Amino acid sequence: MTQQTNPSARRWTLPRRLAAYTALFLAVAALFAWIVHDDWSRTAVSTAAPSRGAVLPELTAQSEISQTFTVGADELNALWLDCSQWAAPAEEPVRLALSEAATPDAAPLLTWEVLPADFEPDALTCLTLPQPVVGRRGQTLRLTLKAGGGLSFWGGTSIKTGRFSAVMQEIGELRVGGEAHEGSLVLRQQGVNRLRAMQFFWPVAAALWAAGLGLILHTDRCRREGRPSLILQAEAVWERYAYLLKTLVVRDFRVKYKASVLGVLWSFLNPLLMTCVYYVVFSTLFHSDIDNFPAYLMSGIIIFNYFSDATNLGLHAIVGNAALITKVYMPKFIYPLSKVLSSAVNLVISLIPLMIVMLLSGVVPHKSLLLLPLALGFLLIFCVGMALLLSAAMVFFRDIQFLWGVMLTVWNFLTPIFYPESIIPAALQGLYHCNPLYQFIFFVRSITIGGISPTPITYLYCLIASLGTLAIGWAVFRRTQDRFVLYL
Amino acid sequence: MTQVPQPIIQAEDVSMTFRINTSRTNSLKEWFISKAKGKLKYENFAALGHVSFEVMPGEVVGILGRNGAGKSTLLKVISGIYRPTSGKVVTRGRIAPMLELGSGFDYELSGADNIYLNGAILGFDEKFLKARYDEIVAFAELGEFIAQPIKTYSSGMVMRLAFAVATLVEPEILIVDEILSVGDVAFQKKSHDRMMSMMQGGTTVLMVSHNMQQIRELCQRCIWLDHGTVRMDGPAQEVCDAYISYLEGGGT
Repeated sequence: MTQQTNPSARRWTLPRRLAAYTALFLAVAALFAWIVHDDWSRTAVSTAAPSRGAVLPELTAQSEISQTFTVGADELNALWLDCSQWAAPAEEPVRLALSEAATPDAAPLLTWEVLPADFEPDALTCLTLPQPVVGRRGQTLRLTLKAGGGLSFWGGTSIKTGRFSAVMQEIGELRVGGEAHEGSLVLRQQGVNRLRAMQFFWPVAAALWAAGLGLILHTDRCRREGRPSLILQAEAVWERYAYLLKTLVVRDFRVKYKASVLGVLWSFLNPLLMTCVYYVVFSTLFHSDIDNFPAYLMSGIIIFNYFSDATNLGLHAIVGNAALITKVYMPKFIYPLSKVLSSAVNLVISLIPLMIVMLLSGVVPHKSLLLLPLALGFLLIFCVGMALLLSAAMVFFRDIQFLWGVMLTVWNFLTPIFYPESIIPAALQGLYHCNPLYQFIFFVRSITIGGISPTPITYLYCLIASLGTLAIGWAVFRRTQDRFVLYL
Repeated sequence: MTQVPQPIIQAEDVSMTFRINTSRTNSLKEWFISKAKGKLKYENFAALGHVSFEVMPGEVVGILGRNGAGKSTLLKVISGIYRPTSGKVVTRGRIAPMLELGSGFDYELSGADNIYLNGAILGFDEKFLKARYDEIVAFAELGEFIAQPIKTYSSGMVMRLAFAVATLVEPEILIVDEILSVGDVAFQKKSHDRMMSMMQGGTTVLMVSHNMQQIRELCQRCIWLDHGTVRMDGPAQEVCDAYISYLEGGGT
């Protein structure tokens, strides 16, 4: 290969490149810090309430109700109770008290009163604490209710948990009139947890900047000394094949909607229609458990559809281009990559109906929406890794295509697309977190519907899932690509 | 750049061995069963053995040999489609392999789109193709049909377009595997002229043909392959004479 002199590379002298890199890095880091600052400093949490069991005995002057629970937030702001409808409630206010469970005789931490009329019958009522309980996360508190009568509360049995802004809580002993009672109050905690992530933000950013700087300097030295470098190789491949990649993506896109009357409109309609179908089928089942069910459904459907499209097309990328691969040389990864990118065009178009549905269903766009390219970037890298892996495997084992169809169906059911996360059994939650698609969908839902950035752990999950899959896919592809022509 | 001309193609001790999976497994189930039974057998087939030669810029080299002598394998190794089992191939310059014309075409797309698609597959960029576009369309004699999807073309039209794209973009190395008869008599003449002018214009050509007259006419040098090894390498007339007398002698 001859050394190509690139005029634009010559104009960009090293100090200029470093300055541009630093400026760009700072701008991106500052933008990112601005977006995530609040969400990485404090995060609103609420526990899931136990599901309703039987109604507890009436709250009377004689029989006070007390319930111990473990505080689930750094700052406990409110408690929710499920009041049952009863005969005309008394005028007398309900007196509530929070005290340490370990020292029953000490003075309560908080006492306050709520008028019985303020309790919404047969629904969870939010009781804001007169002042937040701070710094008692993990400690066991006792909530005591006293009243003149006329009110009763729902008791609960099992606890439902979900990850979408919910944390686990332990509910302890329930006493009615001083005696232990079966079950528990239907109690939900609401509060704020403090995160320390922002403290590490700038040190980590500085380390990343330094790593990038080192890479640029190293690459520059390799360029000057004519030594091989992965970056320089990648640059040369990019320069030569970027146009081909673009042409292949445009080709796929054109051919896809050729001879269809509505053409590109299908990219809009498809997710909308699928959302409608799922909505009709599942709305009675899951509607009440999920905020903004249409947007919840649609975000899941769009992301899973992209994954399914990209991997199905990627799977056939090598075998389907056999005629070309055995006749013309080009880097073989271009084929699966072009398929993943052409499906991505579709994904981007289908974001438009998602935004419309979100706006129509009353979601106010938040600055967290700016993180969408990042979330889709993770997803894209993950899909490239999967496509590399599958396309290579397909060359040697043609039954992968049938197996993959079944796998996709299983994967679809294992991902909370149309069902709420709260129905996942607590014991399996850890396993669910290992599902990369769950992480990507969770990420997208929290920045769109939730309006908050996920906590750093989700970023880490996504980063590992995407780069790890890419590394595995690339390693397998690289090792086997020279043998492709012999099996096609 | 140095003044001493460097060889444009260098093949050093190139061997190509195919490992043929005799049990022909290409399903997971079969593979596991064969593996478990210990029946996964491979047979080695040496298509090329220790082939070495150099080609200087502008040379037109014909490759001779009987069927199965390794001619096509050699062309694919030089094009970079096969990676040699041992030895190495160095090429300096852009290669246009005309191994099967039109293999990069998408029949749903128009002729115009296919010019860009096929051009990109051959490694050319947009600017270059835009500059040559009119020339390609004119050479292929497609006229208004260029806007139609090529599934509506006759096979002759497809071949003309493919030939036009492959040769008009002026690669440094042209690799030809028996493709010189394209289209009707008039276009055959035109394509022949085009090949001649490319060869005179300095393009390095590596061609396989069974048409000895064509080889004698076009090539200065020939390489005779026999069972994957170079049997003779020299001036075209000499090698052709030797090859023909070998064939007339019954091929021994």
